[in-house]
Amino acid sequence: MEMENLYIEGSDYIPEVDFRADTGVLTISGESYHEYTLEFFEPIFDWLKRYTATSGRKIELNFRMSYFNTSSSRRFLEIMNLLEDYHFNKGGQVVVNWYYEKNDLDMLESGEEYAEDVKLEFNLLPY
Amino acid sequence: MKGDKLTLYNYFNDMNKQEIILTFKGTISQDILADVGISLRSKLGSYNVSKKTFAIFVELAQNIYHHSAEKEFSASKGRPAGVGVILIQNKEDHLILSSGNLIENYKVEGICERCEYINGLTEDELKDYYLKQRKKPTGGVGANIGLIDMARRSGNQLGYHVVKIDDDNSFFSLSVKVNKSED
Repeated sequence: MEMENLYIEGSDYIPEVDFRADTGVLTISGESYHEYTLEFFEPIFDWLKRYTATSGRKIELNFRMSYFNTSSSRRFLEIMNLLEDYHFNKGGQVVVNWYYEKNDLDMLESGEEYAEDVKLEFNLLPY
Repeated sequence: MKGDKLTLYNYFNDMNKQEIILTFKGTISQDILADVGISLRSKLGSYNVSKKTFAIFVELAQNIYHHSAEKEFSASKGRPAGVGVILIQNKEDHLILSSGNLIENYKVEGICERCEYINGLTEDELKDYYLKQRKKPTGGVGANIGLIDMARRSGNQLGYHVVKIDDDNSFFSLSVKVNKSED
């Protein structure tokens, strides 16, 4: 079955979400501090669960964030854990790219901490 | 109403004396946060200091929004939202962000213990605690790591104070210091 792409336009407090079903390039960028984070991320998890129902996909997960709150930080970890499970148990090939503005040391540190927490191939990329 | 004007003038002068650059009382929506973010970037020169200050401001505001015992119905959201007060003081070499709101008395002990525990940790221990807590499932709306995140960004102890108001509620205030010198 063909999967549709997922696109959510970003705003001041929600990130742009651009998940391409055909290429497996999934990108989250911008700022994330929605006050009801769980609700905001619900369609994202729903899409990911359907996308990973097919085994063996090649996925590139890109984060290019300038700021996110602690609630989003937890959701990001959950996304990575979902893809980690897909990578190790369902024949997926997943790579995470964590982009950070080169002067933003906190953002680099956040990436390093996810890299410690998640067993996927993890690239820290300054821009 | 000449008296009212004079009172407001005194209030304004007091705020200036206390070096308050921003104050807000009520429910602080994400739209207001976005405006605060822009305003902080222009008021505070340094990229890292203004980012840190904004991040702490968001955590304080969203704590109030989700956890204050005093709620107000938000017409735009169609549901209740927490009410509190929040302010930023801009001192010579540091900023102080303070928040205050009502909390249920039965929660006071837990939150004070949490602050004490956090204040007793080193930078590395704080990081480990943050990562450990982030992995734990939570039942509620928040991430349960806001206080740890603020302490880490601040690099200073969390200040907190509780005043019992009645049999149900207390006023809980929290203050977080941000140094202006870059580390």
